[in-house]
Amino acid sequence: MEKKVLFANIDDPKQPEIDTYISKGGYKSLEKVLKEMKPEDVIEEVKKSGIRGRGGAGFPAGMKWSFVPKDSPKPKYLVCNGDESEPGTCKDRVLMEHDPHLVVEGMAISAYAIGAGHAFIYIRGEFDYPASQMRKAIDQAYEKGYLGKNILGTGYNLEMIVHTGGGAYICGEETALLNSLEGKPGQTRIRPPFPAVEGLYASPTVVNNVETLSNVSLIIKNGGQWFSKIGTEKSTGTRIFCLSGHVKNPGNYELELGTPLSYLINDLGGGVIDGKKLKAIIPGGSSTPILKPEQIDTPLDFESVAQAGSMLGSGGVIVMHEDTDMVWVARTLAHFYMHESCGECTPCRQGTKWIYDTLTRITAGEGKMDDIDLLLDLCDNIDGKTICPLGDAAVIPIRSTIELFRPEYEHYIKNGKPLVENKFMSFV
Amino acid sequence: MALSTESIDAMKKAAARYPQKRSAILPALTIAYRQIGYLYDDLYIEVADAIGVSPNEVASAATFYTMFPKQKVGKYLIQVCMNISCGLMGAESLKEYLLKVLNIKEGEITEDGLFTVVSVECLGSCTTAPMMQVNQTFYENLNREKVDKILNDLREKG
Amino acid sequence: MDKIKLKIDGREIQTEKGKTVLEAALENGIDIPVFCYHPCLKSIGACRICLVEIASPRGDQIVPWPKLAVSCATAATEGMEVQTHSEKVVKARQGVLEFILANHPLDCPTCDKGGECPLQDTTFKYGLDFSRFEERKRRFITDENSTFDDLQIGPEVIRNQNRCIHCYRCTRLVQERFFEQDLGHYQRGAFTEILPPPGGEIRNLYSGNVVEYCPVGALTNRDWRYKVRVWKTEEIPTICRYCSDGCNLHVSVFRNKIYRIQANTNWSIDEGLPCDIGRYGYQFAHHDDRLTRPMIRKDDELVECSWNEALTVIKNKIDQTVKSLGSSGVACLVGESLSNEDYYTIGRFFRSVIGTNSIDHRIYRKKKLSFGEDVVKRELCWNKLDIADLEKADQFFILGSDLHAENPITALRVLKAKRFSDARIMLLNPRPTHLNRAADEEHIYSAYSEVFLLQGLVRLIVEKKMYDPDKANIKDDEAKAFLKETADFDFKTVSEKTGIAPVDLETIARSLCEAENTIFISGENVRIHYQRDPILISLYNLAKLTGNLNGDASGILMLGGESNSKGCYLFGMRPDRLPYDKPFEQAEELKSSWGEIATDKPGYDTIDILQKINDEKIECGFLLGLDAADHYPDSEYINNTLSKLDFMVVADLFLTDTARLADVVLPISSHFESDGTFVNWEGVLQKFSKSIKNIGESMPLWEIFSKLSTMFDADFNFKTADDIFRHFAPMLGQESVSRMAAIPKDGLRSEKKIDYPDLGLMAVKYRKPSHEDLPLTALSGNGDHHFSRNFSTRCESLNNFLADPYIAINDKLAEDMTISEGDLIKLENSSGKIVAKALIWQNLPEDVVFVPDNFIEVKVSMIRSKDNDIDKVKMVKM
Repeated sequence: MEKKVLFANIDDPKQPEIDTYISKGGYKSLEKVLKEMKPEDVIEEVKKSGIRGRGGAGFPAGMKWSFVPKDSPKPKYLVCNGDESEPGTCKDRVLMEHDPHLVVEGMAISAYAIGAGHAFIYIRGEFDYPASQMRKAIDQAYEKGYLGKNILGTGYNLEMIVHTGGGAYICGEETALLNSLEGKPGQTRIRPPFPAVEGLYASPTVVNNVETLSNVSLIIKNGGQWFSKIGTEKSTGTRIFCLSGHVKNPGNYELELGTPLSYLINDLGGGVIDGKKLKAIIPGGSSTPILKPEQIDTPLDFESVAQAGSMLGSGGVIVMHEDTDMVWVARTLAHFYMHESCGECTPCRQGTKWIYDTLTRITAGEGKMDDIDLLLDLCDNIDGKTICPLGDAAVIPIRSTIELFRPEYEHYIKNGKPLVENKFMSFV
Repeated sequence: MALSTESIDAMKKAAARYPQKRSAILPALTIAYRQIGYLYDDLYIEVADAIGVSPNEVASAATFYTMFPKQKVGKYLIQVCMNISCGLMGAESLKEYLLKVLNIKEGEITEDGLFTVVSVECLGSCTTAPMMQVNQTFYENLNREKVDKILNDLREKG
Repeated sequence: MDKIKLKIDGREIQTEKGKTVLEAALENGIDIPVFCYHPCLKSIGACRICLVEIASPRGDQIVPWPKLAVSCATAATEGMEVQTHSEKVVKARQGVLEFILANHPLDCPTCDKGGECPLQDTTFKYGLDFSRFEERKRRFITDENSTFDDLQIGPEVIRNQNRCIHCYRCTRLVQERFFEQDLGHYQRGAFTEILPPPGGEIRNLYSGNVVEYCPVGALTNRDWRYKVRVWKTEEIPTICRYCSDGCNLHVSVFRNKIYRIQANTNWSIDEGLPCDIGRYGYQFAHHDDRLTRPMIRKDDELVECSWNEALTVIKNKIDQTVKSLGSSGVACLVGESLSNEDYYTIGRFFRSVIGTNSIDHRIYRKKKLSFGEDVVKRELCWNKLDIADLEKADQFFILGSDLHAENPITALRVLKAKRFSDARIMLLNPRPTHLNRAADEEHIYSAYSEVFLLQGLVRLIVEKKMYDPDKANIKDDEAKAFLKETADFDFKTVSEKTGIAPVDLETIARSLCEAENTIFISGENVRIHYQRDPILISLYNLAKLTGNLNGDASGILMLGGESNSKGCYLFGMRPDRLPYDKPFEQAEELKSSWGEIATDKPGYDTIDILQKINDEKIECGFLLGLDAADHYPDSEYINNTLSKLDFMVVADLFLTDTARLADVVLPISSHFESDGTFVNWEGVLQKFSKSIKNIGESMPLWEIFSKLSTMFDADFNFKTADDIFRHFAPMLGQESVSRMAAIPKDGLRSEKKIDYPDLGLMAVKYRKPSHEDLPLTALSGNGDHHFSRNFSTRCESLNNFLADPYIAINDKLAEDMTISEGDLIKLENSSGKIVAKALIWQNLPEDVVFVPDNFIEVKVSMIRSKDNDIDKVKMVKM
């Protein structure tokens, strides 16, 4: 069901002001942590909550933190990943715009937990307004003494810097993000070493998503136990789902994990627009396999969605109605992955382009039946063979559309035109 | 020198905040882009000088990131999101409409020098599709009337 | 090293812990194809061709990994089971190859890499013989009118981006190992291209390596391409003839002509990364200027003659001189890049056949050094470290050395230590040097203030008790005595004299005391310094005080010199030493093969030889492989002196300034035309092989002197270089090496490493230099891509980097005198003048000018005087 934890104050226009935030108990968690808790206690509490990363991979956050070597003589860094670029996803932006102090406080607590003296928030370059909201919040936090030198007289120092990107989806991947933060092209790094050991400036670094870190102050405030009771056993807490595509009420909705997909699409989203039939659902951003209409009751938690053959991913739920050409969907996403491939490893760099070129040929009416098998084989040759998950992600829409909608491909190849014509909103 | 003193100062200030000055490349490019409107080879050298890194490092980064135009664009750069969520909501039609009313092809500058329209990938505004970004501002939940008004307002502003 | 066991393709394999699966496989002869992997670079796992299937033990089970892994970046672990040819691996590998070939133009017939192309070979071995790629291949068009998308991106590098497979070896090499930023990757995805930065080109000192590192023909070499197919050439090993690092190289020869030089990896020296000087520096060998026949002076003109005629004249003149002045009337000066076989034969000829010990190679000194200080008397003792030891150091203190230009490969090891183990680099020089690109600290001190700087630092450390008493082994009264003796070197004075701020002096001192292992490196600036010995003693003091005197990764290195400077004194090219650096007292052994040697007293050194010529005590002079007229730091004096010789023999490759003064000129062969050996600064003896026939009638010096010996009834009977090697091999102290062929691939490394004795702190004195009262101090050194003279400037490729001499001046000085870059300026003093184009260097001190001393047109020796310790000049705009 809808459960407003992160979104508790999202509709308050004054929420981005620090006084409002404080008046509702804001920065109390930070104060508690700095004054009463040891860093390892904070990590313990977060581990207890069972919170898993909200960026896409779903890795337990507390465990990630505990990988930071305590005895390393190098400085440690916290990086908040606000590079939100996964098609279908726009949740972090809402948090940064409407409750920036929630992000700042979560970052500060997390930085303390891992012993960082610098915390960066990497925001995609196009997010000018969210970045300015974050900057303003950080400035206010400095003024009030929640950031900077000797925070709240506890001797803890933390510099927090907003860093904006330059337009590259790949920078959402943590090692590419770190390269980008170092001023380099956003190419990924091979792991190991993991960022927790050798991250930013070759120093121990934790990278967490905005939504993940936003939960941290709430976990401290209410206890890990409280958090772990929300959601399902293995998927604790809430998640923000970004409902987009052919629904009546698109938007960001915070749901308790385990809520059925149908509740989101029909009850909150008001169902498919124009009374049309539901054709396909992408449940977790463009990098997740498509679900069929009959899977609409799948509970939205990591395990259930995986069981349905897809992934919870970044929470971007994209709804498509009957008048959607699935070969067009594949080609649109193929273009995206080709455009965003960083060019470092061979299968992704060459494969994404080859796939796009082939799909372009098919949609131009020059396809051959063999092309379908070729596409599937190219997918095989990319999948699992790249440095980072972008390659794996790139093949998902291709495989998924061929698997579920093969006749549409065959029709395109035979007739040089789509089986289903796109009927979308028109401006002309 | 194309960069203004203010821009250079802002770049130096940005560089001073980072543990390593190379990190200031993207912030510095953002400053350069906002002042000049697009990026080009000689500008990379100026940026490199301003923050004390090599032109290679600046140019290598600048050409990797696609947010900064690499050739001259109109005063208002209209970037239309063409990715899946916007695409489902008529982005292709939105772009066609813009090109038609502005009477240009993608990437070109309108005669009055005001507008350039380009296609871009997902801008993280999926629940408010279709959308477009004009310079730094997002315009969301677009329909024809809204687009007409936005263009008129910008034309009036000049 | 911990050993681990794993299985690869069912074979039990043992390897060291920390190695990757790929390394373990390659060591054991198991082939895994690679493109982006290179042992000199950090693995990035980009090309994916080395994917393997891995299973590893968990509990008592062997669990397969969910995905294939890149063997280049996966650590081998105990009990691991690796498949390199399973069905899954073969499929993945074919897939990767297909992706690579998809956009790779199959233009092998016109591609220069054909025949030595890893992509070609790997495709042949592992690829499919058909293509499924029907799309248009990606092209990077550089010229609309051409189908060849070639782009020259540096003086010697041509890029064809279409062929690039994005392994990033070139850019990683340049940035990771060379610390350069003249090559990068631009754009992204499939459109990523390799380019120099805007407005720039790839022209770093190691630039040629990117061509060799390129696994396809995307980067090719201007000098080599389209001239010959690689399978027609023969590869012959050689050693670089330029600096004292001793890079191993391969010469590619076709029909008796050298077409290129490539690396011939010696892991303990060059790691397969030679500098461009070594790579392109072969071109002098075929230069039109090469002397092909002997020449003899007739009617005041040099005319060609037969060998017989030339040698007969020499024989007669020697006899005449010995008759009138005794054997001491004959003297010989040699260059520092001849072979050991040359030196041995020359030494034997002059000492045993003529009976003179007046042999020397130290032409670069103006004045005699104050011998007697135990510390520096035996230069041989200084370099106790190997190049590879540099990797272990935590810190480098580089003083008075343009290491980048003097020992480029040693400089690479310093950079490697910085890259892979965060070693600190402190640079202290009287002018900026290019190593500053990687320096943690760079201090420019006032020219010739080294003694103040070093003794000041020593004093500072003693005074503030910064040193660790256990490491330094200094007693309190010793420290007190030292402080008393060096009272003139107080903090304030030192800062004033050196121009280095007090706070910086203190930082340097602290860094020296804090680091675990520091290596002190000095070079040419110190080698030719009028106070060389006090400087070295102060370095000794610093090393001792900071616990760095002896150790595996600490010590003092005195570098610079040429390819066989060390061979010069190891093989007796000094008036007081016999081969293998033996004193006269140990001559007995030698006498058994050489016959009688005059060992009653040492001969004259360079300075005395020149004096004795002026005193008419020496009449007959030999200058062998040495352009003394150009090298000696006083043009007027050397020319006057040499012209006083009654008879002068010059043996060289070119008609040098010295040769023009000679009575007989003998054409000598280059090291490409003979077998031979050099000794690098580490003391490693390495073999080079004859790769082409002698040019014209030229002969190597050993052959000339062997021939000459027959005319004196003392037939050496040296038919080959190996004949000579056999003679001196027993002195090398390694029984197994009695013939040249037995020299190990990576050279003959002598074992003797004696710890330096603890001599206590030794206070030194500063002596005010003599100089003219003029405003500017003239410093010189190697210009970019050049080394020494006569050779590098006769190489077209190197001239493509820098062809013209210049005078570098400070920007403020330029502004004051309204000089723009390229304007002609003149440097002048009472010795003479030189004129060249101005080059403006920021950071060059205002009172210093720098002149590269590689160019024959602009002789730095013209503004030098042996009577002055420092050469001061005034500058005039032309």
